[in-house]
Amino acid sequence: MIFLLAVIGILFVASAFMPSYIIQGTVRMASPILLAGIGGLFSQLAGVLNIALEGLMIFSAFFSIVAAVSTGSLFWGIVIGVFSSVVLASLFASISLGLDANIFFAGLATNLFAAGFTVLLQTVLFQEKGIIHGTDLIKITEINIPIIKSIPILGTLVNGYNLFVYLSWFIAFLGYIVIYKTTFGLRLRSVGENPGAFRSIGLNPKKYQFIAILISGFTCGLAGASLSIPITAFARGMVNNRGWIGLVTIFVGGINPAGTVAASLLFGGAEETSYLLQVSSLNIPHHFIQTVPYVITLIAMVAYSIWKKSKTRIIKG
Amino acid sequence: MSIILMEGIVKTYQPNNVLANAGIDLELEEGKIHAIVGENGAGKTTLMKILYGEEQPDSGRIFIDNEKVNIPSPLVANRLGLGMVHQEFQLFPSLTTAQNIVLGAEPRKGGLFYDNKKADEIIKDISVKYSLQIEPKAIINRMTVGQKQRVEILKMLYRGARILILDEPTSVLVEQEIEALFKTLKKLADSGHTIVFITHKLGEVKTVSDIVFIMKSGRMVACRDTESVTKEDICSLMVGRRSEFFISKSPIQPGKVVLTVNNLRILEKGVKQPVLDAVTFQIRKGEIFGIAGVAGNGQADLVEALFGLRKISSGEISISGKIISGNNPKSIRACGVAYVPAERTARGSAGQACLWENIVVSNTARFKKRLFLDIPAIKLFCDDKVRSYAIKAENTSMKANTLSGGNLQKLVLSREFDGYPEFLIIEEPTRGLDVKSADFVYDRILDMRESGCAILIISSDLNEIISLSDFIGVMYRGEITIIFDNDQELSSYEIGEYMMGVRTGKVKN
Ligand SMILES: Nc1ncnc2c1ncn2[C@@H]1O[C@H](COP(=O)(O)OP(=O)(O)O)[C@@H](O)[C@H]1O
Ligand SMILES: [Mg+2]
Repeated sequence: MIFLLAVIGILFVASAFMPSYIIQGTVRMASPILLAGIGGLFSQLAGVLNIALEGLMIFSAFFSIVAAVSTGSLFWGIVIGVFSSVVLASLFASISLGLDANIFFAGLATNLFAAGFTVLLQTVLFQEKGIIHGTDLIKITEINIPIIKSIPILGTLVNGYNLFVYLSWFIAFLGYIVIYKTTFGLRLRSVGENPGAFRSIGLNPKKYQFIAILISGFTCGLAGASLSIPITAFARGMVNNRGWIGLVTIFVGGINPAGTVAASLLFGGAEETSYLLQVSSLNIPHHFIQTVPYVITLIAMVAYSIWKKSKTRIIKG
Repeated sequence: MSIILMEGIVKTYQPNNVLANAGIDLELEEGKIHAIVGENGAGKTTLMKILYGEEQPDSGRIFIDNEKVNIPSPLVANRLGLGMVHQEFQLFPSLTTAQNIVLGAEPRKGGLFYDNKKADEIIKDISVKYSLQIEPKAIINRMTVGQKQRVEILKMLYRGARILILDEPTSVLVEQEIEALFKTLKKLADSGHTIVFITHKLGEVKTVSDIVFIMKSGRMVACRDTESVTKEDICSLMVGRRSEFFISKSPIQPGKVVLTVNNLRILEKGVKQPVLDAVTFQIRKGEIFGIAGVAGNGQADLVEALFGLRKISSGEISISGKIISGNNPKSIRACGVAYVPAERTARGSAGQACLWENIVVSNTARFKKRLFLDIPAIKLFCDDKVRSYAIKAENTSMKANTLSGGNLQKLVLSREFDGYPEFLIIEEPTRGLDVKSADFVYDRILDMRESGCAILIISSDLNEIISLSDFIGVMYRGEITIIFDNDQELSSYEIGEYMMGVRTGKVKN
């Protein structure tokens, strides 16, 4: 929570003297990461390291465009995209929980399958390896909130994003409510802590883990659609490791929703920086620039583990 | 009136074919407190797990209120009014007391939401009702063991338990907590609950129980009204007359003193009872010193202190005059100390590593060839070890976790006995081993003794201690309460009395 307040504070201060497109870019870049992170958080709390987030996002990014193109409706595109991701998640969950496969291999397999299968379908259906365009589709617009848009700093911060950005914040908030206020959330947190004790009171750990993975599927579905639907196009590689970064936000954020929000803003900022450097006139090699988000990931992970170590030391000693 | 009746319960554990319960009958009276006593491995926990539906018996029947029941799971046991508090608590560390207690049967509002307030109120109510003081909002991982245990008991009461089973509830508690627990148990019994608890402490049996059951090697050897028996009676029933096994031990002229432990003390923060208290003894060259005692009386802590795995509070340990207390295990090893731990898989070996790696891991310096290990030399060395210790293995490149218990123990011995250490610590040398492997292990230990090694053996098998040791120290509550010179007349019964704390004596050596 402190972490979240700090990051939002920084954003507030920054938006006072930085161009608004940087702030808005940060929030925009953060949104798919946040969606993936919140879904992954549900799994993590249930004691399942969900490394399939990336694959789930790829699936939905692809199927939402395919569905949108074939139905001519963005709405159905999103619905079917999210559905496809949930189906893949349930496949992943069945293999790793039902068949007791190694969760790590099952997750990697899911990612490889998603990447490969979408390319295959793309080639077969569209005779096209590069990009699928939904040229006839109407683009979704940015939402302007009447009064708020004219308030100076707040206006830049919270006004003028597309549907997905608002949805991601709503999902994060909803996630918080579900995790901390509902019976389901209480049980979810318990499974991850002590599956043996969970079983001893007559509850089924796998059931809760399964549902948690499906929730990951749902949010990653939204995350994937949020990448392809706004630009009405799908290109292979467009998810570009955002699922993995979403996974990292869970741990950097300290395995709670507020922390995940904060961490995804941090990575959103890193991606925005990397993007701005690429389009700037500075002559920095683009390969180097593209490593910025990963370098930040690394620094954040190291900082987090140092902080955590010192904290446990305080508790112990 | 009898509330529970277990009849002819038989239970065999499959992997190693251990007969844990060999046809046990047990009858519990409503509203009474029952104690179950018996040595480690007597089958007490197994019997209670069967009653609670955690294990299924091979045969036998269970009646509750004279009705035959089938208890396939703890959940069904809960429904039948049974509750069990395990030795290892089944709690969720970061949740609150109230959440831990109600989980699985939570009060809700609006169908979906967890009703925090109501849960806290419920907990307050039952904690007042049974006078078990507890703070509903307290987080588990900041609690003392005694508080956690109270949470476990309340959890069972919340689930409507009329029959409460507690597995060694006092072994983790300090004196005041034990008193509080007993008050609770009495109160519960007065309000009509039936209590069964497992214990090793005969004093407790006399203090709280109405009826005592005595188990030995998978059998129920006696059931008595507590008032009608003395501690000594219970003790003799527990230890009993066992089939003797003889080990031919050659007389040895003991040499100079190797190990000296002087006034060793370990205190734990916030616990009044010392973990180890004024432990003093010596072991000479060619001598086996056995430590007898009920598990949890400080034996494991003593071994950890000797091998540098645990910090001591005061006192001194020395090997041949050289002080080693305060050193790390590596430098203690360098002083000629070797250690065969009780947990062969967790401490004694690396399951994922292959045999030769396990054999030379503490001895790599000897096989260094510049920067690298001289693998062919290692393999030759290990092949030799495998042969001389009769380890059943296809080759030395297979993983250690594919070995059976006996062969794994031989593997550990082959490493630890190598190079004739001056001082050898062996915990549970033959636990879980078949007779043939056990004999082999005994022979090797006696070989080491003859070669002049000073040996410390800790075992929960009293017979083993008596057969092997030249001297026997008994540990009770962190102290060595007596040291016997193991002449032929020493009876297991006499040692048993010291183990149970029925008698304490001045240490003579
Ligand atoms: N899960 C298990 N698998 C195999 N053997 C077991 C298992 N649990 C207990 N045993 C064995 O069954 C015997 C009885 O154990 P237990 O009931 O725990 O005894 P007690 O509680 O009296 O010390 C012991 O020899 C023990 O090693
Ligand atoms: Mg036991």
